[in-house]
Amino acid sequence: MAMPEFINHVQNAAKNPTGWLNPTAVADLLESDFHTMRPGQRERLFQAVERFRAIAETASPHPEQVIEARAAFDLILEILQPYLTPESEKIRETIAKAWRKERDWIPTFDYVLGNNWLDQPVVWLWFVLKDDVLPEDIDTKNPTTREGLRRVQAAIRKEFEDAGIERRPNMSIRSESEVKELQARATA
Amino acid sequence: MSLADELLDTAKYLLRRNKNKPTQADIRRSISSAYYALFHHLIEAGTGHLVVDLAQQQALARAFSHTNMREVCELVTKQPLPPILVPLLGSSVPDELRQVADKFVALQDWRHNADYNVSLIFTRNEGRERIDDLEDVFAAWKLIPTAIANPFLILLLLGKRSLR
Repeated sequence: MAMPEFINHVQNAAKNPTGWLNPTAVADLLESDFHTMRPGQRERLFQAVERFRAIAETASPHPEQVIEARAAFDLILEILQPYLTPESEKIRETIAKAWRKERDWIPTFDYVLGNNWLDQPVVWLWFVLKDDVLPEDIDTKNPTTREGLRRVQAAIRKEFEDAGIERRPNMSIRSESEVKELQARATA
Repeated sequence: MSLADELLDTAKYLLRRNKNKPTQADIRRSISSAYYALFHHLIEAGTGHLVVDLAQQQALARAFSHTNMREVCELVTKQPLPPILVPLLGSSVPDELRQVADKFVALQDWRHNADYNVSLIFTRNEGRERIDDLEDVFAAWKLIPTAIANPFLILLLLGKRSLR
């Protein structure tokens, strides 16, 4: 499970006034999720998730802990705002439709809605791939990975067309270890 | 070796630098080189079909513009194909041509980010993906029938404003 499921859990909990204080509200967050987020913001998100989870896992939290958990949950919602707009939700769901069939080797993805240099609306989309599907040498091809990337990219273009999404998907890849390196670099 | 092939080699070389630990500058120049490899590949194909003399080819090459080429590629990737293109390319454009056009637009966008957007950090695999795309496009280009490739190349030169 990964970013799309995590966001769904958060959204479902936000709609549940009596059952929001539950560990499932923040389930399925992967270490390599949200790698396009600004580093400070991402760190705040992960810390808020940890604070929330620690209290939610407590059998009978004190009223002060409930207040603290609510503050953490509200912060999570605030940080996730760019992902919660109707357009972002539609695009995430459309990408996820194609991605779910490939998640055994693409554990997660992240995206940013923005404009290109011509000010045309685009989606910058990164698939996070398992390290072992990417050979170190540039000239060494993993035919399965190449074929898989062609398949998922074609599927996403088709899903965008079918969903009437006019933003152009500009797709790329990063490995799990590269995502970790980016995070380490940001916090160094 | 053509300029396009040399640029592809350069793009790969940059990603191998420093024992496969390229700097941000290496990756950015690699992505930029991958775009220029495709840009020059199409120009070489276009000038090679239109004129024979090398000096003429070099002069004609300067008439191709990034914007004209992009605009035509954007039209070619539209589904269904805009009717104005049908007399030139036919109603059913080969997937390979769509692939070339689509990757031209995408590579141009990545190239602009690589050259000008200093807020981004690029990874080696992002550079690798551009090279793999480029090699796919070079292979796809060879499969496009001349009867479709040639009018496409002329359109790249003249731009979409020539379509009336």
